[in-house]
Amino acid sequence: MQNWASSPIKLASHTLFVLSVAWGQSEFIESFDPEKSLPESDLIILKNADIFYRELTPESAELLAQLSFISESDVRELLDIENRVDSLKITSPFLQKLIQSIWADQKASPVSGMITQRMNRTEDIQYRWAFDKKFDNYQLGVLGERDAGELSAVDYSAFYLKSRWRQIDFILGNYQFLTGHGLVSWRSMPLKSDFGASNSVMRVGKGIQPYRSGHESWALRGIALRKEFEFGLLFTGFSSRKLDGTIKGNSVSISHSGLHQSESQLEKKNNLSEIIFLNQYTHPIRHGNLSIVLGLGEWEQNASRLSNQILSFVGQFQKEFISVSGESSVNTFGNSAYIFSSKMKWDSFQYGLSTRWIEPNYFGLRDNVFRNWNSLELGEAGILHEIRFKLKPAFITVYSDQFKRLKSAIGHFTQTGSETGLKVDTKLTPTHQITFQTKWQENTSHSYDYTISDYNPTSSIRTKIHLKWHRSKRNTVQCQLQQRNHPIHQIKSYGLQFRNQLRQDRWKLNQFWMSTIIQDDQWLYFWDLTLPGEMRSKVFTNSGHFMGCSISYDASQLSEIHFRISSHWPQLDFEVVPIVRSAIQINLFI
Amino acid sequence: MVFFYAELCLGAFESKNSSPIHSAMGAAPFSAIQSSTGLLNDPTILSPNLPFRFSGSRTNLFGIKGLQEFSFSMGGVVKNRPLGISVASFGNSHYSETTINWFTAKQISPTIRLGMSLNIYQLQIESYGMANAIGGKVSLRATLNPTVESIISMTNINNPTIGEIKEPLPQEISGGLIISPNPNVIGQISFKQDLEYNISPRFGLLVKPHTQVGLAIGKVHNPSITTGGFFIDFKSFKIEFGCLSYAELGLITYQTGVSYSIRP
Repeated sequence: MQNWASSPIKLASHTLFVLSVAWGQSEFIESFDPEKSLPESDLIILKNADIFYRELTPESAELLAQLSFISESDVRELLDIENRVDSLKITSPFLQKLIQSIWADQKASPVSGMITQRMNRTEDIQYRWAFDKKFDNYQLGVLGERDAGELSAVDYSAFYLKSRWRQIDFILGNYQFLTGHGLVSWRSMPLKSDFGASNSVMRVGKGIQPYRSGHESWALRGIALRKEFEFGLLFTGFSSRKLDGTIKGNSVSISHSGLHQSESQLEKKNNLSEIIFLNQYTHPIRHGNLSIVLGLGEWEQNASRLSNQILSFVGQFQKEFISVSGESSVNTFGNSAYIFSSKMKWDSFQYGLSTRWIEPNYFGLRDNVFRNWNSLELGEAGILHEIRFKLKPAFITVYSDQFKRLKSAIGHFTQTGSETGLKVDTKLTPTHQITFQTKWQENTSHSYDYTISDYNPTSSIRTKIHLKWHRSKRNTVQCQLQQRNHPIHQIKSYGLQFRNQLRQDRWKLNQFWMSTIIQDDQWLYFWDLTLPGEMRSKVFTNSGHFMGCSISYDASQLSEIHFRISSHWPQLDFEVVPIVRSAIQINLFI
Repeated sequence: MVFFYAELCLGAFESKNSSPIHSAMGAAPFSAIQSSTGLLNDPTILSPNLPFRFSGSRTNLFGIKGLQEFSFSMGGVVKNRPLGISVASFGNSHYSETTINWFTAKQISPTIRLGMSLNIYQLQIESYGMANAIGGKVSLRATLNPTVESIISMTNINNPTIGEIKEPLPQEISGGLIISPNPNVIGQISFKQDLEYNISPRFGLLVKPHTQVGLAIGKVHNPSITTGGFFIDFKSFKIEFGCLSYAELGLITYQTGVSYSIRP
């Protein structure tokens, strides 16, 4: 049961690790909820762990600890490896399976770097090149990208150099500064309520790490340092860069698209100058640690200027089966926010509780705290519960999140909402696994008129049944049925997905078929075909069919070629020109 | 090169600075066979064990008498460093384009070679004057296994401009795979994209019925071009011929080339 207690956030299907056949990282990534994907930096960390290391070592454990989806207790176990004699023995079943998925396919000779080039055909061609290399005393990463339709051969580039000098770890170039629970600076993807969310909410940022993602605006750029003293740990970072965004009142809105095609997008390109100075001091105490975070941000856009200072306190404690953590912060405009979480964990039972309060117009530096509504102006308060337990032969997870806006727009009502989920995961036979999950989300409307339908809250029930059959070590078949409906308006959508994965010597074949019947706005999300390092979901806004196929070929022990092609008919009767997409990726190991 | 309106003159520069035999192989944007004329668009063929070579080629674009292009290149190992130079000119006494390229390459791992070129562009128009620009090209060639190689190139990576109005020179990304199931058959599947236009996929095949003779055919999409040609090896000489037939224009471009290798 302990493995379920420490399972990752948003793990929609736990099946892949249970079986002995390792299909690699792509299958691991596809086990997450396609509607709420992971940050790209996680995919790159997984790939780097694969190419640079052969097994779990203190260095590879430090890299894996940067993954955003593993729980705080797993992070502690990874970072504690260096202090243990039997360092390779990991007790967390989830970590054991994660490690197995990364290093199942051993390469004959260790490599020190990788070059990846990918061409992705959409309306135009997206090109992407990435280079990562580990030298004796330092690590280097370069990324170049040209989005579809951009006129420049490299419209975005990133670089980092990570090394150590006189017991100071430093990063030059692009980096992330992860502090506390996300009230000041956090990863590019926000956390939403979902299965396993209580694990992720408890996660505390571990300071600085190289930024490897193609997300153009979330990195800090400059220098970051980490120095360990006898009495604590100090992180400091300075960043100066230009990015796409707008100053809006007392906050900054950063563009997430990374595209520069339309006139307005071109106008926004690098139109915002930013300077950030961020510091964190962490002091260990009995059963935990306390941190103080101080950040300063200055933004300039044309004649507008904005300055924000932010102060945050973070605490983290654990004793026996109870852990408690929290963060409270206030910015220069007097807006404050807090998040407190606690968890109780026994062998076969886990209970997590988290409360949050984010004042209207609260703004940090790169904040991305746990919240269900993205609106900065209206604020949010909420409380999340999650229970997990084992009822043989099934694993059961139930969560409930209640949330409300703290303010309403003029002439509107203050909105409230809730989301509840139930998941049952069971193994029918040694080769058959079935997962059932349902989520019910309900939001009140912010405006009511004399139409009867508008008195009803907006609600949605999403149900998913996933069956996985390992026919042999080389072949896996999966089937997924989804239904999403609006119970009051009687609007229903259905989706069916079949997948077949085949492996033969150096070849891997992945086949997809999806058919959907979509009504109104009850859209359905499935995983799209992905190449290594990609995380693409397919959203069906219309009824239709999708067919796809990917082929991977290990050309040698130092090179791989991956290709995918797909066709989407956005009508059930096929009487429409299909939308064809394809991509090719070549991985070269150095 | 910046004065041709591409919409009216599809593929006007498709065969520019390309070796005849690679033009015949579906206008491959890289060198699929060892040919010093191939240095023109692929610096990665420079390697430490390459014999010193000289080559020259002449292109008659669309079979039109006034549209002639000449190029000369040489490359080899100088003080253990692969180096090459080429000069290409296009035009007449009223309008002329000249490109000077300096090439080098480095083996960065047992399977990966990095090629670079520095390109100096010179444009001269009678009564208007002259303008210069400097561009850079980076290419990466990887041996995936004994039968498959991959190549990716980026031309004018520094986004150069020319003239007083700062006309941007075309930025191109090209690449593909070279597949050689046996020494007498070489296939290529590739693409080339001027970033202002749509991608142009290509494929081609070269068959050697005799060790000293090779026949090539190929197809280019966007614009639609059918290609063909041959080479003949004679002692240290290689004679190449290629032609590109433009379906939409109904015109044919002819290329001839000759190269000479100094055997060590």
